[in-house]
Amino acid sequence: MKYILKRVIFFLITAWAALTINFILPRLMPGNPAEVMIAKFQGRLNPQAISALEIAFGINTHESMFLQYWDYLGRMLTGNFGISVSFYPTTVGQVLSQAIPWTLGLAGISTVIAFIIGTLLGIRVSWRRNSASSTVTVPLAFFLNSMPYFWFALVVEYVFAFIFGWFPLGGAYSSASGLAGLSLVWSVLYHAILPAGTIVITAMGGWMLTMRNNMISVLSDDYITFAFAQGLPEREIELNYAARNAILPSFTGFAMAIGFVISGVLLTEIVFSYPGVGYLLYQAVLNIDYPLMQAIFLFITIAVLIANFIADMVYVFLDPRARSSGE
Amino acid sequence: MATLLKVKDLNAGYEFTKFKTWAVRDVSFELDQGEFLGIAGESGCGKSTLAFGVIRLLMPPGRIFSGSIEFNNIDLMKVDDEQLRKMRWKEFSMVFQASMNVLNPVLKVRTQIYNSIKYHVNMTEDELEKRAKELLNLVNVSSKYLDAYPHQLSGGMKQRVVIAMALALNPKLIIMDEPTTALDVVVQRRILQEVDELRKKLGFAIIFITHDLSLLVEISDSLAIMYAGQIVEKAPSEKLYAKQMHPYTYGLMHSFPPLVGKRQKLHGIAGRPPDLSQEIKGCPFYPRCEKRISGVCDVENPKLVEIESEHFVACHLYDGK
Repeated sequence: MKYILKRVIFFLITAWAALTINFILPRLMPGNPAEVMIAKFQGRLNPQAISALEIAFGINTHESMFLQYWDYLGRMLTGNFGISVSFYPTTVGQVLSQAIPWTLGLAGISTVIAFIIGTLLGIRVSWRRNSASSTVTVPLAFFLNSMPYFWFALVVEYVFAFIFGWFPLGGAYSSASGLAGLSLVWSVLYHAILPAGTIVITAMGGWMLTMRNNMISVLSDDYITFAFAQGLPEREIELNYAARNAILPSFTGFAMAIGFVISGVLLTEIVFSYPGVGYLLYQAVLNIDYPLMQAIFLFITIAVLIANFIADMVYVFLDPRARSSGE
Repeated sequence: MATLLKVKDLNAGYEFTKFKTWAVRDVSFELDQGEFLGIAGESGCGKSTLAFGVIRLLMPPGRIFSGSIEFNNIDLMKVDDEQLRKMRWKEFSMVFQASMNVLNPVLKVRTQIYNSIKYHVNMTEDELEKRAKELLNLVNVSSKYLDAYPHQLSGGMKQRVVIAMALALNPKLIIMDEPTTALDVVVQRRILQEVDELRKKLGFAIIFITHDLSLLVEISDSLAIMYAGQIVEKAPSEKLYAKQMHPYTYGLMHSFPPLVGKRQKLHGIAGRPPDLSQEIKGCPFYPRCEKRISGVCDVENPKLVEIESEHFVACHLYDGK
């Protein structure tokens, strides 16, 4: 329990630090969103409108820094991120809440699939280290893993969506109206196949190699030989003795990857015009949409923190040694 | 007594892509049921390879090159993997050198003891628990540690748990490969004595491997001395203690101080053991031997022959050459 409490406190402190940095950074940059808006309207705004915009965006330059900060914390906690510049007058909260499910669905699920497939392959390949399939799989994994993602995604998009036309060019679901129920689910899956496929294929190799390396170091440990000496069945040794120990370092990496899912799919979502957070961030940057950027950055940070927190918690169940050292 | 293990001309070692190491060279010996055989020699002489070899547990790159191993009249070299798996632990078990690290860090002691039993015999959960408690009692570990993880046990306790596991299926032979090296002398002695008492009670045979000859002399029935992958001398312990025939055994026996008696100068053995990845011509101890006969010892490797009753020596000093 003490361990969990420690983790919670650590989590709160880092979250606060992230919030504070997120507050300071945009204020160190020249200009502010209100000025961007004014530039956008090219002098057609009167001073009242400008000050109204400043208040709306939460950047009231007449207030002291401390008051602004206090105000900012309050708004963050209540989920009021201000109004988006690029999607004016929609609030950032609304814009974000429309994009998040797509990203979590696409990147979250494909990261989990990549991790599971990669890890299982890694176990197999290291267990049958000298078999023909291992000799082929390992270099292939290296190749897939070191391929530049954007290039691979573009090639896949070009070949399968543009030339063959087997898959849609972009979007998350068919724009044809009246889709509901099963046909909507099918449409969503159909649109997700290419982007998810590219993520799984490129990420899988990395997980496989990590797991393979962990396995190989674990396989030379004494408890593996001892398990063989006890005449345990190979399957038991492979899974409960070797893989069970080898997965520990992999698992930490996986938790980190889940945290970075949101920023990581930036390229996927741009290439496949998928309406997720990554695509949104791209738009926000193009339009100098400070409130939206700030909210997305904050969201990414919080996501990483939460993922780490969950990883810490689960790790305790996976590794009994973490339990006592934390107490 | 009936012979339990018959090893004949065993050659084993490690095969790498560029070279090969013969760590065990033409080793032959027999072990009776319930016998306590000690095998001693300096580090790197092939003791552990022999220990792993006789139960076919050498992991790659380790390999048995040739020879025969007969266990309880079964030719171990001929049984297939599944048969071997079934024989392991039930017929012969092993206590490892680094017993600190042989327990799986993520499984409870209970699960690990259960695992060593349940893949060989059918037992219900209750029976398994009863047996596990019984085993821990046998090695003087409180049964409350059943639900502990290995890292929560002390070194001596882990050692005892491993010994308890080795006893789980009442094997006919337990191989102990320097099981107490990582422990302090007091604990070493106590564990060794306990093991010996268990042996007398349960009747299993032990092959005990160590570099610490003093530990073995009084407990083991017979002793084999290994040098450069070969057994150079083998005899009942008291005979070997009273009279060391091979110059190497003599050197080994006089390299640790006696507990009683006058203060005396200790003699080490000068030089280093030969490289086991090379062919050795003549007696492997030749370059370090004080009694070497040039023209004889550096030409032919002496064979292990029975010089006195039950006293085997491989040395040209005694074979009349």
